[in-house]
Amino acid sequence: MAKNKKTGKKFAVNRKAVAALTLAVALALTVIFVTLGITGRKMDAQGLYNLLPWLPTPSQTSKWREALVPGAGMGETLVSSLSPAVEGEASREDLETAVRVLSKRLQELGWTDAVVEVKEGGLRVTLPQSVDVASLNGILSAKGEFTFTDPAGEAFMDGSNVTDVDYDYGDATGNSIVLSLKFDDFGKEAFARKSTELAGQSISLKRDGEVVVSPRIGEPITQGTVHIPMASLDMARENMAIMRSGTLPFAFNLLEEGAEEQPLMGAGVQTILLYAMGALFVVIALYFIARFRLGGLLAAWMMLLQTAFSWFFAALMRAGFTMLTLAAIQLAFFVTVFAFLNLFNGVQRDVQAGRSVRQALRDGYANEGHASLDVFTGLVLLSVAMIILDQGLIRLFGEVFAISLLIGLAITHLLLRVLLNETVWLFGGRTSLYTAGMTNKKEA
Amino acid sequence: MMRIHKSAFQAIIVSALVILVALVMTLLNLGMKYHLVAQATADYPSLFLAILLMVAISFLFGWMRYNLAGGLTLAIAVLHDQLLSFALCAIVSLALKLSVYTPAFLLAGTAFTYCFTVPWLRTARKLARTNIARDYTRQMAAQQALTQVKPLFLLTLTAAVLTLLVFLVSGNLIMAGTLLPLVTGLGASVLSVRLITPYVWAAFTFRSKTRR
Repeated sequence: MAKNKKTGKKFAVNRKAVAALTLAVALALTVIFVTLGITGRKMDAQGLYNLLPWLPTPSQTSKWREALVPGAGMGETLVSSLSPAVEGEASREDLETAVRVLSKRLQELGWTDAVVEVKEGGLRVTLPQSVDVASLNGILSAKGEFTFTDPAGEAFMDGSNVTDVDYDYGDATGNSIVLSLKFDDFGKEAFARKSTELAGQSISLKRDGEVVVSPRIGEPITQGTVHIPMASLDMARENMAIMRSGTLPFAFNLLEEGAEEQPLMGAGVQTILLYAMGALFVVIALYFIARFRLGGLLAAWMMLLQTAFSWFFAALMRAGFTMLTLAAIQLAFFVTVFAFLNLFNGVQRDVQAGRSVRQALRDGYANEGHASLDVFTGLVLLSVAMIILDQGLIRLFGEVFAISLLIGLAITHLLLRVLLNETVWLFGGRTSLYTAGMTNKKEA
Repeated sequence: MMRIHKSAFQAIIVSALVILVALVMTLLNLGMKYHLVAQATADYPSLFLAILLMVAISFLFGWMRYNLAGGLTLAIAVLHDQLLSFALCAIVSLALKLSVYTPAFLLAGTAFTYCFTVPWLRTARKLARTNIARDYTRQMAAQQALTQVKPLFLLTLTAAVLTLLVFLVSGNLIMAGTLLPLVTGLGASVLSVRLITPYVWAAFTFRSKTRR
């Protein structure tokens, strides 16, 4: 009850109304968010801009697969067959070397869920259905021998002298793409000598004898690092992937392109997995509701929100619908379930010992809540370490895991706490509302 | 002087033996079998560096958050679980081949380590701090904490098993092999929190049992 000092009038804040409004707004926002996640939305009348759905469902007509592209493990696949462009039979050793190089090449291009294997004297490449098979087959069949040549066509160094390669934007506009190369000692000296000799002329970067780019040398490059302009981002990525993965023992010919096959992890894996995940959620939610009643219902609500937000950010990050993304999100979900179990167990114990629900909640967050805070914080720190340390799959996993953990942390320690308090305001602190097996005890 | 409980010592010996067997198998190219030639992209130096970094971060986090004994306990738990999980993967991969996600999923097993170890560690520290009886040792606090957190431990274990089952029932043997590092990570963390970690923590300040 507040009192206006000047006029002496009192005005009452209806705490129950505030609580009801807070819960209603939160519920409405959740419903809107989850509905958009399932259905998506057209952002304009012409259908040029669409908000794609991001929550995976078993529906075959939903467009969530455009936001979260299934990998070869989870979605339909395309299989290509490659045969070595050599006379006679290629040795098993060479084919296995080729498998290693091509597997790295695919990973560098972001296709972590693709597979290369030796089959019948050649190679069999299994790719997700969403891949542009025609262009990718060109990259996979290329031998990948890089050479640096002078205007006369004489090679003075090759790809083996490159120790590191990456691509970047050449300027702030984002229109200029460069391929950045770092050389070993031999390469540094050779390039310094040639760039000094050929100042004002051009040096060519060739791949398998074909010119990729012929930039003009403005001034001698002596630091052992060079930034070569590329025509497009795709070109830069392609050359980076091939250079990083190494040279194939021989080039390949494409025998069969893009035959459709089932997912690597089994026919119908996507549908079964989504139903199984849904069933797991329902079982956990029912357990919470049965044991913790109204508090459990809120917990189930927050778990749904955590899942929806995790998939939203996974779609934003273009993580794809792969085992990596699924494992990261499900593990973070498991950690959130642990946090809720820990918290509600503590609250239930205090309530059964005779404390009020409000006091039990406060103590729950002060004691058990800190345990989950430690777990979330520790795991986020470890995920950040994964992101910093690695450039491949560990990093990809770390990114999705860290985001999902942060969502779980915010939901557990902020949103759930606020909504639980508002629920107590609205529905009262009767113990039977928040824990099973208790007779009604009203809050003083 | 650090004295460790007999059962914990035996569990550590068993873990060490498993790790040794797996190491020998891997060096002889008998262990760590991958399906569909995912081995092509397995980068063991990066993986072991990542494990060491995780152990270091866990130690620093535990030290800052709790105390030196807490930091050492958390670090040892992470190291044990990661190495045992790796070893079990190497052995079981003879039957269920591993996938390209193995390194990432091995490291992800620390989620189980933290979820099982942290609640126990906090409870044990609280018991050691609040119990003023002169004959109340850290080992008693460790064992009492195990009993107190058992309901939470069982529920968390059930949630973890169900989470992994969701994947296992959905796919084929390739799915099972892909999940193997998470399964072994769960197994290793259950073993460590029930048999090893509490007694390692209890042994750390054996000298200062009056100063908890």
